[in-house]
Parts: sequence; C-alpha cells; structure tokens
Amino acid sequence: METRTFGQTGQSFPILSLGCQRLVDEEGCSESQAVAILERALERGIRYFDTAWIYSAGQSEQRVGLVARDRRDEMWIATKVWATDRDGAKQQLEDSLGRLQTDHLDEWRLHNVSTFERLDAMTAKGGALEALIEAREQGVIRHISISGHADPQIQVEALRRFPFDTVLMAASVLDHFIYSFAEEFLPVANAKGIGTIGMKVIGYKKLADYAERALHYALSLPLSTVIVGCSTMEQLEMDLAVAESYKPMTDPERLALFRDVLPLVKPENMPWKAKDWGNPTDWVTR
Amino acid sequence: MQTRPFGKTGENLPILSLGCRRIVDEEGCDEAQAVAIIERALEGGIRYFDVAWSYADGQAEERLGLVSRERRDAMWIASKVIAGDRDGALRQLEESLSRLHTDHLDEWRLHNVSTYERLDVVTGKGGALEALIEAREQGIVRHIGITNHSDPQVQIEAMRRYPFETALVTLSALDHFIYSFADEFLPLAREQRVGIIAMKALGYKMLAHCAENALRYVFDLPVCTVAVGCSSVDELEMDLAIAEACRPMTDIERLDLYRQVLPLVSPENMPWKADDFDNPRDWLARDSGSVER
Repeated sequence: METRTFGQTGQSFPILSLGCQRLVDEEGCSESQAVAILERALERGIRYFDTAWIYSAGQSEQRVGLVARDRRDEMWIATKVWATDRDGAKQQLEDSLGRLQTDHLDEWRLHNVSTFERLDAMTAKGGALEALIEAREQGVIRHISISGHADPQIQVEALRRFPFDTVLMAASVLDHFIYSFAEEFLPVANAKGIGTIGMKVIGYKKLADYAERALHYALSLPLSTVIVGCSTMEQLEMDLAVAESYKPMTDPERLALFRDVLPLVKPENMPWKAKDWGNPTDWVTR
Repeated sequence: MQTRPFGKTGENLPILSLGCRRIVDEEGCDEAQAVAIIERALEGGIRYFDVAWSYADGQAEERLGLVSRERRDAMWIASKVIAGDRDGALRQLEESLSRLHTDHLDEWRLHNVSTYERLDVVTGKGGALEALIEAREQGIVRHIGITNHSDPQVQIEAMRRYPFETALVTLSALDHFIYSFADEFLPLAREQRVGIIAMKALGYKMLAHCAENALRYVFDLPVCTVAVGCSSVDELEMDLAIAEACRPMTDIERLDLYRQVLPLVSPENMPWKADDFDNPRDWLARDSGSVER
C-alpha cells in the first residue's frame, strides 16, 4: 500500500487507516469481530487507529485496547477528548489510557471543534488545550491534534491560535460541494506541512452504493491518510482492496463520480454540515 | 467597483476587466460599437483591457488602439504573442504596438501555453520568452505573463521554469469540475503572489442563462480581476451592474450554481479542455500520476 509522510511527526503511514467508531455492539460488531478486524488490519499493513473517548461510552476504546495490550508498538493510536475544560480533559485522558491499556497516546485531539464557541472554550484559559499541552510536556501523549466536521474556517482559525501537529477533517466526495476542507483548509495545512487525516469518506454509509469510488476519491486528495470505519471484515477487505490498487483518480473519473453523488449533497445526508445534527434540515450557516 | 492588488505589480485593479476578443466584425460588432464599448468600460471604472495579436487578424488590437491613442494613460493594456520563437515574437510585438497606437505594453504574455510541447518551445533557447524578457529590459513591456486554457499542471511547470508575474487562466464554474486551476494552481499562485486574471467566466456564453451567479462565482475566487468579453454595450452594462453589486456568494448559493452547471460540463461545451479544440469529443488526457495539488 502507498505510504505518505505524516506532517512533521517523522512518521509515514499507509494511505488507508482504521476508524474504530464502528467496532461496537450498537453497529452489530461483537468483541471477537472487533478484535479480528483490528488484527486483520495490522496484518495487512494498517498502522493508524483512530478512536475517541466518547464513542459508545468507551466501548470503542476498550476494543482497541484488547489488541493494543499485546501489540502496542505496531500501532499508532489517536484518541479524542470531548471535554472542553482542562480538568475534564485530564479525567478523560485517564479513562482513555485505562481503556486502551497503554501508558501513552501517539496523538490526542480536540474532538469535533465545529463551532467558534467550542474553539473558544477549548483554547481559552483553563480550556482542554491546556491539558493536551501539559500531557505532551509530560510525555503521556506525543502529538496534539484537532478534528472538525462542519466549517473549515474554524480549523484555519485554530491553526492561527495554536500550532496543531495534525488535523482530522470531513473529506468525503459529498464534502467537496459545501464548506470544503479540501478547498479551504488543505492548502493552508499543506503549506504549513502538518499531518492531515480524512474522515466521513463513505458519508455514514450514504455513499455505500459508491463506496469504492468514494474511497478512491478521498485517497486522491492531498491528505496524509484516510480513516475508514467498518463493522465487518468484508468492509475492511473492500477498503484494503481499493487502497492496495490505488492510483490517483483522473479528473474524468472524478467528474463522473461528482455527477452521481451531487443529488445526495443535502443536509439530511450530511448531518455533520447541518445546522442541527439531530434534525438536519438546513445547512449550517456561517 | 471593488479593486484588488494585482500580484506584485503594485497596481490595484477593479474586479471586472474587459476581454477585447469579441469587439470585432465577426462577432457582429462594428467599429463604432467597439469604440462605444471601450469608452463605456472606461467610464464604468474598468482599467484593464485584454487583447491578443492573433484575435481577428489584428482587428481586436486595432479597435482597442482607436481608444488607446487618446486615453492610453487610463488603460492597462495586456496583449499576447502566439509565435513560439524569439524573432517571430519580436515582430508580433512591433505589430501589436503599432495597432494599439502605443510605445509600450503594460503586460505582454505568452498566448495559450496549454501543453508541455508548447511550453518547451516558448521557454527553449531562442523561444518567445527571450523576446518578452528583452522587451521588458528595454522598457517596452512592463510585466511578463502567460496564458493557459487547459491544464493547470502545465501552468505549475511554467512557474517552475520562469517567475511569470501574471497568469491568465480559465476559471468558470464549469472549469471547477475538471482540470481545475482554482484547485490545482491558485494555491501556488497565491503563495508566489502571481497576478491572476480569470477568463472564460461565462464559458463562451454557455453560462449566459445564469450570468450573475456565474460571475459572482469567479469574483469569489482568489483572483485579482476577471476579463469578460462582450460584443455589445448591453452585455457590458450587465457585467458592470453585476460587478458593482457583487457580494460574496455563500456556499449554499454556490451549491445551487453547481447543480445548475454540472450537466453542462462536457468536452463539447468546454472545447478549451478537450483533446481537440475544433472537434471536442473527449477530455484532454493527462497522466494523473503527474498531478500535484
């Protein structure tokens, strides 16, 4: 599988990485299936595993921990903090480390910073960012990151406030058409040489009918790596097959995909860019 | 009208400029109409006039010359050279200056450098670029530019070979979808502070039915100015009104425009990005492995 440099971390990763949100019961994935998926991913060369404190009340982290316990050195583990304040963040870090059965994280990120209010809270005095900086000073975490789903200008502003090592962003072909991180944020990130991770590649299954081409599209963006979530071995195998045979998408191929998916570009299908995630009838405004 | 800095030239230009290709007989525009268009443009605040040696066998330059003869100081004149070699380019410069009734060009650019083959010729030894550099040294032209219609990667390679001060590139809403200069070239242009002029904003009239949003789309790109061609004062009045009222488009408005124009994105409607301009049936092919973003 093609590998790419991960910002200035000194690491290179395969273009395909594993999103671990869906390795949980509520997605119909049992513990043994989750472990099998994680082990197959490692066996096939995947090294980057993305999870979060908040996913399924900790079950996602726990399942990653079942493998990390024995194979920690082969894995780059990134998890996320939901709390916006320093003290809450530190508690969540303890929880994450315990569940992941490790004493350190390769990357810890501010989760879903998709409004300026949340960015303000997290970067303010006593905010969660202070916990990340302290944890890095103490060597408990290695790199500091942020994730954004809705408005690339928030991540542009975040980089103005703090030199994040990496950024996780929504980068599906649906995202091409509105509040596009590829257009507004990647040139900024790449000029600074920071690590970039794409997510929402299959658009929470809305692109399931176009899954291979949707993944091909995202792999062709100038990102460091792309995390794809899966809850079955078959999905992982398909993702691996696409990534292993990867060649950049040509513009005529991309145009054909644009034509197919443009009708799906609606707030209902992209709640992460809607005004109200729970009731996505309108686009977020900015 | 809003103005923006033009690269490193020190100039600020209004966002709307006049493309002079269509102020010619073959577009149904007679001499008096052409002069009226240019004068109305000046009165409306336009300062930048784009023309080329090859347009209508020189008629476009001649008509621009009818006005620049009297009002040269109010105008920024950019013309283009089609010859690939130095000597041919210098002869075309003489002709352009004489048709334009002027002793200097504000900007002189290599015309339609859309393939690596042509780029090799114009930047090779004895190529047209040498003429541009000499003319600038002599003070006959002030700034050196380049034009590309088809392939932003050729443009990126051109910038690697020579620090062109300005570039005229295709940036319509149709162009968003294939071989996009906005996506592939403008980030580099911004970094290097290249003065950018957008063209094909209405896609050779393909976007006439949604002209206002098609123009707003281009004004919102990180370009300095947009050269819009016209062959009647009425068309110009419409462009001026849109430019004067221009306010940024929201992404939601832009998405509506994308939905409207995507069905029109085809080689037939965009011959400048087709494999054969005169018989546009397939997209230009390029090696995707060479794409840098």
